Amino acid sequence: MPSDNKAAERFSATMLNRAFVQNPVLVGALGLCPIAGGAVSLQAGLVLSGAFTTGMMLNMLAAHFVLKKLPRWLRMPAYVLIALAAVCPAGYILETRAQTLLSSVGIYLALMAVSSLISLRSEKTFVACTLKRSFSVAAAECAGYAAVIMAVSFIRELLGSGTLWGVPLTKVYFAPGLLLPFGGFLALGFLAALHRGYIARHFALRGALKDITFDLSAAAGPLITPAADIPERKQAPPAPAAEKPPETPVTQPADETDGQEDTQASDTVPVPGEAPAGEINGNENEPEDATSDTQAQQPGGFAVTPFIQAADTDGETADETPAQERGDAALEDEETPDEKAQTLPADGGEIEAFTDEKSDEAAPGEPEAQPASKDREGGEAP
Amino acid sequence: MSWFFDLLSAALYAVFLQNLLFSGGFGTTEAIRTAMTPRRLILFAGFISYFSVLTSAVCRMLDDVPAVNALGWAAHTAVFTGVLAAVYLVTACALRFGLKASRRFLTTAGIAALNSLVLALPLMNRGTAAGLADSVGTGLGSGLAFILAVALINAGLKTLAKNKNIPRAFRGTPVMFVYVALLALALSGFSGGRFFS
Repeated sequence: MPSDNKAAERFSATMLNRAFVQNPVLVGALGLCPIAGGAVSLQAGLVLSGAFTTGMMLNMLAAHFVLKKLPRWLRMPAYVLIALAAVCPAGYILETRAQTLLSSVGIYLALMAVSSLISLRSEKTFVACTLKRSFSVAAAECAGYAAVIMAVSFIRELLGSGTLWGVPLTKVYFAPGLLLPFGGFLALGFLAALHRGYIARHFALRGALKDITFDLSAAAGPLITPAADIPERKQAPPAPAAEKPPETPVTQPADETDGQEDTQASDTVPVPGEAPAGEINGNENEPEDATSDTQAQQPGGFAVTPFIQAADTDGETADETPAQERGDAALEDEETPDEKAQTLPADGGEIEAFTDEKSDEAAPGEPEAQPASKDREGGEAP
Repeated sequence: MSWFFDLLSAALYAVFLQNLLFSGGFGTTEAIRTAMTPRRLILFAGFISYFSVLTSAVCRMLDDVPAVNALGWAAHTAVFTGVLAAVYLVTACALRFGLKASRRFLTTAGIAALNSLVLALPLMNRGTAAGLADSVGTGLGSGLAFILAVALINAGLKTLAKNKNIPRAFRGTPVMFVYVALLALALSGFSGGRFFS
């Protein structure tokens, strides 16, 4: 059935974008505590991944069916208590059957209940989106998070303990210091660099790869090699500097699009032949439009580009969300006159994870990962 | 008087000798994000200290109850998390209905409360059999540790942003992770132990 194929394509596009291209850990730096402190062996990583996945799915269901009726300040502790329903059974099983593994994981299993990634995704996506969309996002986030945990666990167990899955390996030089959080952050740094290099080489992003720290592309050059520098693409005309990002991302033709639900424009399957102009980092050609709504110029000369605005919607705009959910979300955002009088000035100092009012709208220059194809412009991707 | 010195030594330990964020990785997500926009740092750190002190103190007093002390790991986690949620709810109700706080203010309080740094303290205090003074001191120190961590990360990000010699693949989040790793390594040196076999 065509609709089934379309749904499958959207799901796979969401998985590719959320789990890999915009990985919540390697790009967004979310949920770091259990990875840095608890992912010290493959077994521990598996336990943490399982607890995270269960907590995320439970929160997805609860947020969609029940919690969206509550005000935000009541939803936040609810996320923690619901995630506890995943953490406590796992801890009980380990306590009765694998005490040494529980000692290895330590308190980081308990801290999964207050995972920033679960709370953030529940608040920003699961409350406002359809069940199908919420499930696809949850599955993608779980896959991306678990992949990073397992990778870090593998590295740290091999190089920190000299074992794999508890089996000692001979002739392996290991450094116990890698089992400390410093080792976790170091492993994350190199994994993130590997990820970024792979993305730059194999994906043609229409916009910037927005990470949370700072946007260095304006200061230090583009992340992705401009088309003019690629020998086989020097014939391609460069995009004008003032070119605005396209209003609608690459999607299926309008008459084939299901506008009822799951309007994730940038999660649709990339259309062959519609490569972005020059495969250039959006900030180079469209520095202002791509990030003007999201950047805040900070003292010291670096621009802050919140990851949340890029990752939460994947191109989904407020106009595309189902009317009922948009209406419910709007009701919750209304302030009473007393609240408005007491509202603190919007100086951008809040933690943008929860307080960005516009985070459910699509950010301009939303990156759309398209696998580089030889057929696209007659040459290999950079 | 010894109670005061126990409190003070626990606070200083939590800030410097074993900085909770760098030695344990607690609250690093929020520290990194706050380092980007540090204008609400004092308020956020104040909330962290407030919730840490209250939660640690209540959990420490509950641990003196034999029935609670005999509970297993899972039940203890549930109790401590429930205490944290209850402390947040009481505070949120007081802010919302008593002080008519805005939604943003409540959200800031919520993020500060439901944080791995705040929940880690009572769990750690139980593991080390810390007394009430140590628990309160660690809670106070958590806020200062957060401020120190954010200040260090913010200063580092500013320097990294100006450095054009960073390899392309490391620009952005990767180099930030490496920088935090080096900070953690530096502060882990205070705790001793062997890093290399």
